[in-house]
Amino acid sequence: MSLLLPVRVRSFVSETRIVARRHSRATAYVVLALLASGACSREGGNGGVGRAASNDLLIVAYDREPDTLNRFSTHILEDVQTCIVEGLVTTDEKMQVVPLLATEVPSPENGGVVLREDGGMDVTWKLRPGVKWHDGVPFTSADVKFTVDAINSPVYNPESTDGFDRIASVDTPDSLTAVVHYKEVYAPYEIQFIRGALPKHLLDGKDIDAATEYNRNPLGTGPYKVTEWKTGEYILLEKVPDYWRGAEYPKIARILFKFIPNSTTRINQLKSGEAHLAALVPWDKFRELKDVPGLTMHRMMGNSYEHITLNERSVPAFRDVRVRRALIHAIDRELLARTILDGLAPVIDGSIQPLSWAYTDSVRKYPYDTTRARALLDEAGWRDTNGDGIREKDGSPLRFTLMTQAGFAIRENIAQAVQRQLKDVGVDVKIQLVDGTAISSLWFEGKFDAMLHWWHMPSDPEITTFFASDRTPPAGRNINYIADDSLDRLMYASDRTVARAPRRALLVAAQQRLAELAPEIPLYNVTRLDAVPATLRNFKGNPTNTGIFWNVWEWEVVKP
Amino acid sequence: MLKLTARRLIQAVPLLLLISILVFALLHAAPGGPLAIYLENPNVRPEDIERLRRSLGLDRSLPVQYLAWLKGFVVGDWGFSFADGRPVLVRMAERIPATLELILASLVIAFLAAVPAGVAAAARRHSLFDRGVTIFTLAGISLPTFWFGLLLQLLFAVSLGWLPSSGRTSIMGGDLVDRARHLVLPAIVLATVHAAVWTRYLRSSMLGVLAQRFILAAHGRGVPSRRVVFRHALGNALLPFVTIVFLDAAIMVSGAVVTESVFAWPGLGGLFTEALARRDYTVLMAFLMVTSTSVIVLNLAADLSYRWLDPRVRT
Repeated sequence: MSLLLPVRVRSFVSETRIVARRHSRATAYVVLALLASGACSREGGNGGVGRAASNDLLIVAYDREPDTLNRFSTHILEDVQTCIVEGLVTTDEKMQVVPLLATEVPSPENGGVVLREDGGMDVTWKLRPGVKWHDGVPFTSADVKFTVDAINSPVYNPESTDGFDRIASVDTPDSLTAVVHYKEVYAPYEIQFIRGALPKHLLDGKDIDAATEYNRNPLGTGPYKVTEWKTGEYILLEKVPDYWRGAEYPKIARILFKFIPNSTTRINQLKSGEAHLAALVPWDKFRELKDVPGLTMHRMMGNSYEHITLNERSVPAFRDVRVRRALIHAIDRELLARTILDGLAPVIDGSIQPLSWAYTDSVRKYPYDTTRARALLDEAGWRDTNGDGIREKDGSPLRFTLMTQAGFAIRENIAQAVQRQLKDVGVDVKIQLVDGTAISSLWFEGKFDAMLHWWHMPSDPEITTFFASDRTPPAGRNINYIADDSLDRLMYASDRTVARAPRRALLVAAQQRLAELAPEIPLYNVTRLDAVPATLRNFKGNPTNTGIFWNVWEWEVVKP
Repeated sequence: MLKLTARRLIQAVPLLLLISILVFALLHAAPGGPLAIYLENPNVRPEDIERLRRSLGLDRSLPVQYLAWLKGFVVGDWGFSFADGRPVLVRMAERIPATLELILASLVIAFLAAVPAGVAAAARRHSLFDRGVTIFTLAGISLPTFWFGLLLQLLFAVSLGWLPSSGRTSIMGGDLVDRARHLVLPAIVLATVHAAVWTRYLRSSMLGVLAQRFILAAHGRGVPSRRVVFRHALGNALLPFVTIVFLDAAIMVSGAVVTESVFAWPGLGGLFTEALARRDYTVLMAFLMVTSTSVIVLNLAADLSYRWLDPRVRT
């Protein structure tokens, strides 16, 4: 049989070829037709399937699909929502709170904030006249009052009730004035209504959690409205015809948010011209994108900071301030910033970021100095007695596990560099990589030794939740488990101070005390990188969670 | 055959029940939960977390949560997504067409590639063509889907500009050609591994059949070679192959997760990835039950087709 088989096989091979040829011919026709239609559909862009950004259409490569467009319910960055629903205020590119639907930001100086003798305070919001919801109904103080009542109602589940639960009531003496009565002094009152308001005439008496129609197509006062939400694919926004700033705004007719979770795919979309803009580009993609024709990399300091939290509850050695200071001295943060971070993120020394009005640079600093680090560890009683390169004290090695997020390449690299540098001064570090969702519950339960991560700081410089002794989880986010009475006093006093100058003085003192205590290892500012079309004008960026679309009404694409 | 179908479907019930218990337990045992995502936001305070926990029913004991889910699942009330509050059934139904489209296209591509290649490779055993097929199939099996997908994007979207890099439609498109163009790359990526495996499988199946005595006898009776190969050999070689195709079709549902993620394809895989990151238990349970059921049903379909194709099994 083995002799016969090849002969027979040969005879049917020709038939197989014919069949195969038929198949491949048919396949080739289909492929050619598709490719030809693709070639015909080229419209410029970066020379591929894309089209150039224009005032007709701007395509945004967005990293996820929003859960809801209700600004009070979403947990996701509010870029899409910002284009539709406006707040009474917003934050600008310098992190200043600026009025939007309000005529001014209330303050003690302009009489908008009055401290009551009973310990409470009244904030008067003057609303901009002539503003209408997209359905033509006027936007009034009744909407502001309805929003407060809805958020404080037990039947609605917004993401956060922070601040709203301190409001006793809202008076509406006229349609353009809302007087908010706080039960106590609340320093971040300025951004209380940054997420805007809920339309009373639409939602009054409705279950807001279940109001799918509103939550997927919210009524706003902003420059855009939702035209189409194609689940899993995109949200298309279209300019409203009678925006309150005037008929000439917004300049761009349509904005398309394409949901592209994979960061490399997002980058490929930018390169091919299928997308024009991407916010928060990962730093390791900067080099890939900076020379792409038609793109500009917009870079600005962020309001977040990367650091290593030292869990004093879990690692007794961290309770000694000399050890904590030694660890900071032992890490060459400038080297990390220059190499792994490609010089994109500056080294910082504390939790309040340079963009904040409360920031101070006059704090104790811990430059890279391994001699000083070794001396501090010696002084704290940690010495390498057995010659294995790791310091010990009372028989226990100076060892801890550094937890960080898996799949975050830059963090993994930083963790490895820190591990290597600390080894040089006799500290043994093990790295633990955990997925993004799991890591949150681990740190919230205090189940870690040290953690490399960032905090996104609110635009108001309140830091109590991160460092007050009574704000350890679950009461807050003091996961260093630091406890210091003088720091507590300063932070709580600042939370009860409304006037800017005295509050800043308290926060400066708090930052200085924090630097003395060194509860964590500050690494670098989380600089924002946004890829935008080179032809886009009036793009300003934004360091806060307000996002880059805060001034989308004035964006304009010009001819190259 | 009806009896067999009924028996197998009845047997599937306790199996699905067991799967649901295991999946439920595993999901809840994994660190993190639907509320973990809120922890990063300093404005979300502990009292907010507790309020949200209650509103999602997560404050109840696990057995109570499971029984509530099971009761709803059986009567077609699959609950609401923890992420956006919409019914899980609606969220699943929105995504199923895209996944089916991708899987069907991939099956067709894989089948069209595997059958001629497998037959020809077996027919030309040890030839240059056979060796070429071996190299390609090994490469196809070894290629990481993620990497291969990105590579095709770079080539066909970024460099050549011929095909869209991701998504299912263009904003201005949406017609048949536009959809087909979007489908090409993800379908090829998803089909590649299966085409490679099937080719190998069919090749060795064909070689086994071609070596049997009834093939010789057929030739001896003067049956034309073409008829011998396609009727006698291929017909028999396809029997186990069909089973593999059905089983792979079931695997494709879960295998599409990576492909959908790379190509931002709005199917069940994308929903699963999103739900997993968010620990959206209700959506995850629904997805895993749908995929488990599809595995069971396609297994049954494979058995039934086998019986239909091979008269010997019927007796």
